[in-house]
Amino acid sequence: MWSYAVRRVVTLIPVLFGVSFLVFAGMYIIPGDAVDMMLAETGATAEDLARLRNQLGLDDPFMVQYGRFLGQMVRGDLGESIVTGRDVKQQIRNQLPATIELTMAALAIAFLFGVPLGIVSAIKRGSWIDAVSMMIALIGVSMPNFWLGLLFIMGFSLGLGWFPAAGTGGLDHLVMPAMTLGFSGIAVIARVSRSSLLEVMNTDFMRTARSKGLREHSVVIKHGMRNAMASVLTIVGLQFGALLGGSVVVETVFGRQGIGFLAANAIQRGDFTLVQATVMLASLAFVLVNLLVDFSYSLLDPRIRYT
Amino acid sequence: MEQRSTPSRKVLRRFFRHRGGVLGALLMFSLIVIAVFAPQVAPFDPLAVSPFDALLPPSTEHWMGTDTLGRDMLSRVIFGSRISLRLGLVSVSIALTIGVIVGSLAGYIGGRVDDVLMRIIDVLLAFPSLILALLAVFALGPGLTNAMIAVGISAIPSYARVTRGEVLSAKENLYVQAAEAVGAPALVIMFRHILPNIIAPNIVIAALGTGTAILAGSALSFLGLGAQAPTPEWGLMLAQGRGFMQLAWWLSFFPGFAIMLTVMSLNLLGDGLRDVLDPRLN
Repeated sequence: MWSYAVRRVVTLIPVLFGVSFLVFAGMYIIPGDAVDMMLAETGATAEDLARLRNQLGLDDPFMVQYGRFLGQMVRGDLGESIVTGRDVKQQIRNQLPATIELTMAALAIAFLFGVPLGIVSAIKRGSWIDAVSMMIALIGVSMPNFWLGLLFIMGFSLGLGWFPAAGTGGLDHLVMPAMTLGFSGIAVIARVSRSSLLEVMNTDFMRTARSKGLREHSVVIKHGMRNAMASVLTIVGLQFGALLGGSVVVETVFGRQGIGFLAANAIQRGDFTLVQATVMLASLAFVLVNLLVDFSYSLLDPRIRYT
Repeated sequence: MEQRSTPSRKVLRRFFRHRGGVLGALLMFSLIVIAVFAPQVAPFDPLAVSPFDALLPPSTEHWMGTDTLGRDMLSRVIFGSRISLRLGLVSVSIALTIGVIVGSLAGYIGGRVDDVLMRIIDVLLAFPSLILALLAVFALGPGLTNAMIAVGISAIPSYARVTRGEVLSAKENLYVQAAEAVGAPALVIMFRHILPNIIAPNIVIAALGTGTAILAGSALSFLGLGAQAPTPEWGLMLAQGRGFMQLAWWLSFFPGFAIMLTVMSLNLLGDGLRDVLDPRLN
C-alpha cells in the first residue's frame, strides 16, 4: 500500500508541473500584459509602461518568467492583485472557508440524497418509484445550476421569505446555495448507485446472503452497497471537480464571498494574478481529492490490494 | 419475401423500442426544426426594441412576455435555440476531432507518442472542466466563438481516452493483425479497420457531451464571458433577467426552461444511443 501511495504521489508531480505550465501559458498568450491592465486608465506614457514592464520582469524570455512563477508558487507567494493591489494569498485565505463550507455541504447533500435514491430505484427496478427517481435524476443532470439558483431565490427568498437571497453568513445563507450546487450531484450519484447496485444484485454473494435468511434491506445495504461503493466513490471524486466549477456560478448567483466569486470577478476584470492563483488552487484541490478517493478503495473493498 | 436484417437495421429497430431515446430524438428534431425555421416561427424580430412594451407579462400577444427593452421573449428564446445548438455542435466537433486524433495516435502508435499524449491529457484532466473552460476563455477573451472553443478544449480528454482504449482493443483483433501481416499501410488500417470500432462509443459521448457543452456554454454567457448583448443567448438572457426577478419572473424562467429542455432531450437521446450501441458504457 505504501509503495503504491508513494508511486501515485510521485506521478502527480509532472501533472502539477503541467497544470502550472498551462495556467502560466494561458496568461502569457493574452494580448497585452499585466502592465497594460494596471495602467490602462491612468494615461501613462510609453516610457512609464516600458519601465514598469522592465521592473516586473515582463521583458524576460518565456521560460525565465515561467521559472519565476513556479518558484513563487512553490514558496506560496501568490503575488498581488493587479487590479486592487491586495495580497492574493490573504484574499484567498479570507474567502476559502465560504467555498469549503459550500462544496462540503453540497457534496453531503448529493451523497445523502443520491445514494438512497439510487438504492430505492435499484430495489424497485421497473416500478413507478424507479421511474420517478430516474426522472428526478434526469432533471438534475439537465438543469442549469444558475437557473435552479434563481428559481430558489424567487420561491424561497422573494416568495416565502424563508432564506436570505444573497450573502455569506450562517446556516440560513448556506441552505439554498448548497441545494443548488448539490442537486446535479444527487442526480449523478443516484444514477451511478442504481446501475452499480443492479450489477451486483444477482451475484453469488448476494444469493448466499439471502439464503442465510438475512433480510433484504440488510443484504442490499451490507453486501450490495458495500460492493457498489467503489463506483460511487469514483463518481464522488469526479463530482468534486464539477462542484468546484459549479461554485463559480453558484457563488455568483448568491453573491457568496467565496473563491468561485473571487475567480469570476477576477476573470471579468482581467486580474491575471488572481486568476492564476484561483485556477491553480482549484486544480490542486481536485487532484488531491481524487488521490484520496484512490486510496480509499482498499478500505471499502478488501479485495483491492495495491502492489 | 423476408427482408435481410443488417446490423444497422437491427440497431435502428432496437432504438425505436427505447422509449426514452425516441422521446429525446423527437424533442431534438423539433428543436432543430424550430432553430432552422426561427425567422418563420418567431412572431417578432428578436432584436426589435419597443420601449412602450417593456416588461409586459405573458399574454396572448406575447406568450413569454417582453424584456426590459420591450423585445418579445418568445422570439428571443426561439432564436436562442440557434445559438445554443450551434454552441453545442461546434464545441463537440472541436473536442471530437482533436480527441479522436490524439486518442488514435496514442493508441495506434503507442510507445513514447502514447506516453507524451496521455500525460498531456492527464494535465487537462487535472482541471475541473468548467475551470478549464474559464481559463481558456480568459486567455482567448470573452465572446461566443471563444466560449465554443473553450468548452471544446475542456471536453477533449473524454474523447481522447475513450478512443485510445477502443483503438488499443481493436488493434488486438485478428483482422487488424492480418491486415498488418499483408503489409497494409497504417492509414488504411486506421481508417478501414480501426475507425469503425471507435465510432459507436464516440457517438454516445458526443450526444451526451452536446448537452454538457450547452450547459457549460450558457454558464459562461451567464457569467458575461460568452455571448454578448444583444445576442439572444439563453444564458445571457437569464443573467439579464436576474435583476428583475421580483418584477418580471418570466425573464429568467423561460430561457432557463429552454436550456433544461434541450439538455434533457440530448440526455434522453444519448442514454438511448448508449443502451443500443454500447451497453458497456452504462
